[in-house]
This record gives sequence, C-alpha cells and structure tokens, in this order.
Amino acid sequence: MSLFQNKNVKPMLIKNKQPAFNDENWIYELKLDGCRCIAYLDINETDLRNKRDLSLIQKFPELVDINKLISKRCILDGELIILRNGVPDFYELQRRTLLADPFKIRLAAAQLPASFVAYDCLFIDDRDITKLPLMERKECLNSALRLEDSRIAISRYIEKNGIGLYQLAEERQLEGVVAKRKDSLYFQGKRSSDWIKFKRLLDDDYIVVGYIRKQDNRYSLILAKYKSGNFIYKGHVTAGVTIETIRNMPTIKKAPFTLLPVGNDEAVWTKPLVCTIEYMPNTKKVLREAVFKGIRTDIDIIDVE
Amino acid sequence: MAVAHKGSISMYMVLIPTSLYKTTTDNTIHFNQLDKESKARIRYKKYCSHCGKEVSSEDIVKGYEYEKGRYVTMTEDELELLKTNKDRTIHLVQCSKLNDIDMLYYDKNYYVVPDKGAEKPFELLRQSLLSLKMIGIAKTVIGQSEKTIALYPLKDGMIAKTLYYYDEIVEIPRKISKMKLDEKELEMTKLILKNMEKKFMASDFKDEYQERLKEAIWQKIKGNNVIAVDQGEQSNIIDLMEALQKSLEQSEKGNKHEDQAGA
Repeated sequence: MSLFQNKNVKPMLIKNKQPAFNDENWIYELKLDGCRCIAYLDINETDLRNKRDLSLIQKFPELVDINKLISKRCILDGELIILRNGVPDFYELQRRTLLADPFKIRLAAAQLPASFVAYDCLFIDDRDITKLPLMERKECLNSALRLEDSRIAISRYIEKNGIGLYQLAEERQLEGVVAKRKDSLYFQGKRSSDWIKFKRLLDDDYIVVGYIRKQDNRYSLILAKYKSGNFIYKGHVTAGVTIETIRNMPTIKKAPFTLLPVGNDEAVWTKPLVCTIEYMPNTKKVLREAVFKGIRTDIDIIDVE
Repeated sequence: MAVAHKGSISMYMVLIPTSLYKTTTDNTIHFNQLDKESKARIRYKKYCSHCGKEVSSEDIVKGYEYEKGRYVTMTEDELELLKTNKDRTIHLVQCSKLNDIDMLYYDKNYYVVPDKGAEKPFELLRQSLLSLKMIGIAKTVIGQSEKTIALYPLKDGMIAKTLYYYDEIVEIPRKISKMKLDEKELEMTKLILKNMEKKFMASDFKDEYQERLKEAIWQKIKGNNVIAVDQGEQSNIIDLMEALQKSLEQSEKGNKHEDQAGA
C-alpha cells in the first residue's frame, strides 16, 4: 500500500537548540504556534491528521475544501494555525480542538477560521519523496498547490540569515524560527538535528496529575512525567492556570505517586492529562518562569517521558 | 474525539489493546438559565426539606425509598465495597451468529480502534468474524457499570454495541392477534408500499426545529457583530510571512550599501 493509502505518517520532529546561527547550507522559516498536522489531499477529500494520526477535519470544517487548490494528489506536512490580531494564537487553536459540539465548532470557525501552512511535501505523483533532499521537496510542494488563499498557504523561507529572522520573530513576539538543512531527508517520527528550532520560550510536555488550591484562590497544577509505567513527580506550575483549567478535570481518589512528595498534602488528584509548559531557556534543566500553556489531546501520556 | 473506553480485547491467549470511541455526538442546542436582569447564571442551592437549612455535599447521604417515606441509607464506603472490580479488559466469552441477537438488545454503539502496534491481531479478529458471519460477545466494565457487548465486524472496521440485559427488556403490552388476510388486499398494500420505495439516505432526515433554532441563534450572534463573517484577506498568514521576508531583504540591502559606502 502506498504512503497515501496507508495514512499513519509520523511527522519528523525538531530539536531544541539555542542560539540562532547563519549558515548557507540551511534555510530558515517561521515557527508558527499551532498544531502539527499531516494533510492527505486528493480530488475527493481533505484528510487532516494530528501527530497521533487522529482525524482533525470535524474540528476544522472551514478547511474541508483546501483540496480544491491542489494540482496533484499529495501528502503535505505543516502547521494548523489560527490567527488572532495578525499572529498565530495557540490558545484559540487549542480551544477549538477541545470543542465537540458541531454548532459551536461552526461558530468558532466563522469567528476565527484556521489555516493550514504547509512546509513539506512527502508524497506526490504517486511517489514517496521523503528520501529526496529538502530543497527538492520544497519544489514539489510549490508544484502541489495551484493557488494559495487564507485557508492554505506555503511556508515562506529565507536563506542564510537565521539570526536576522530570529530577531524579527522575537520583536514581533512570534514563537521562533525553524532552521532546516537544505539536503536533509525526511525521517518519519525521528528527532533529527537537521531540523532545529530557535525559540523565544522553550516548551515541553508534562502530565497534569492533580491540582492544589492556594489561599488567594489561585490554583497550581501538579506536573509529572512518565517512565516505564510510573509517574515521576516534576513540580508545580501556577502561572497561566485559571479556574477554567481545572473546572472540567475529572478527579480520582488516589495519588499517582507511591511516595507523596512534600507540599502535596492538600492535592486533588485528577485523571492524567497531557499539557504544554513554556519556560525561559536556561542551562540547567529546570522550569524557569514556567507558564501553563494548555492541555493537549494530540499526545499520549505514555509518550511524555 | 475523546476515548470513551480503553481496554484490551482478550481472546484465548491474546490481548488486543483497543480504544472505544463514541459514534454519535449531541447536536442539540442546550440553554443555560440566566437571571432576567443581570444575565448571570442561575445556580441551585440544596436545602433540607425538613428544617430548610442549606446543605453541602458533606451533609448528604444516599437513601433508597423502600416504602413511602421510609429509607435505607448507604454510605459511599458501603457502595465502594459493592462496586465491580474495575476490569476494563474486554473479555471475549463466546461467538454467535449475526442474527442471534434480537435488535431489541442493542443499546449504544462505539467504534473499536486498535492501539498502535495492535493492528494485526485486530485485523485477524475482524476478518475471521466477518468471513464466519459471526459476532463476538464480550464482557467489560465501562465507567462503573458491567456491560455485555457485541463486537460487530464491518468491511472497514469494527463496532462495539452494548447490549441491554435480559431483565431490562419489557414484554410488549398487548399481544397482537394474527388476522386472516385476503390475498388481494395484501397484494394491493404491497404495491402501494413498493411505490414508496427509495434508497435510505440518513442525510435526508433532519431535526428541523434544531436547524431553525441554530439559524436563529446564528443570526443573533451575527447581529451583535460577534462574528466577523467577512474577514477579507487582511489577517492572512501569507502577509505576515512575506512582510518578514521583505523586511529582512531590505535590511540586507541596507547593510550592503553601508559596506560599499565604507569601502
């Protein structure tokens, strides 16, 4: 079966690295703060899948017709984003992925429509092209689309001046820049050092396993990671957590840790959920100025190591 | 779509890790109750019908009314002891012919999706059931309740149908007596029905009240300018990317000029 019929493409992953650099053998494009998305497009259908290969199209009905703009059947890799005040807004996108009611989805789609920004092409002309160098895949990507519009676009890139683009991204408070080696091949599911991100804030996925109500009516989430069947305690995050965050978390009776870490006697334990935490880059691997960014549904708990 | 149940199908010596997903969504409009003046949400207070004092959840116990006005109470601990051991495994206990199950027993549907890596044993089960024209009967615990489910193979997947228990099905209120029919009348009726024949398309049937309700709400929101229907191209990701590209090119040109001027 071809890559297209099989679906189940695992997107290539990007390494975290600071600082930005200039290099002629690399290209640089904006890192848009949204949700990774693989698009399977042919004349009949637009099929969008997240990292876990779950279908996204019910949540983004405004993208149903993007297949009308392609010239050939293809698989595109890119980012699903929602613009708010001219910049990608991760919170809006995350809110949308959590909606279930089709009418609420329709309202949200009319109010803040999403766009798919493609930056890679993995399959075209009935051919798996993941083992072609990046710059040839970029050409295929250009030929795959007849037109761009506000629902589907091709990611723009620049050559050489990675530092310049990163500074601009920082000025505009965008998420950052992705640098890619021009001759890099596409390895599914691999975190390759051929793709590197420069980010203003770093982020990482954690598992929320409970919360603590503080005196001033604020809430801290209890964070963990998962390792060979066990939850490893990682600390708390308070910034970014609202009563809305915890309102719908299903509670459970037992703590997920065999030994209860200090300062968690008042904890309410919840069904484990994956979330993203943003923090300032630092040399020690600690969460500095951590901010809770949101719950995400596109990652399995067992993958949060 | 959220997973409704996670558990492995256990058959013979094999475990097939799967997830069950709902097959339906609640499409109906739900209203909140608001105060007419302030438009704030209405909340309920619970109070004791005997003395009128407000009660919180700690003050409440569960009681079963076995006779008018007389109750036996059960504490949470007592209930906890009785609960089924949370065995989420889907135990395959037997296989039956497709038409063994009376339609009356079917309750809810779930999509059965194999977890990553379990696709092959799942496919073996599906294809075997399909070619035998059989369904698997299994037991599991979904949420807090013990369920019997039928694993129903399809051309491109599998559906789990939860079944009602035998004692949940009630008798028809009155047995219908068989009438002797005139052959001609029967042919006539069949002809009329034949004339009404049309391929069933689920999308032909809609809840028209809900459609009108949604349209009315949609119009109100639009009237309040909450939805900017015509966003035009002003907020376009392409513009953002190209603006940054241009400003970089310009600054590079600027630098070159400076270099030349300096040289």
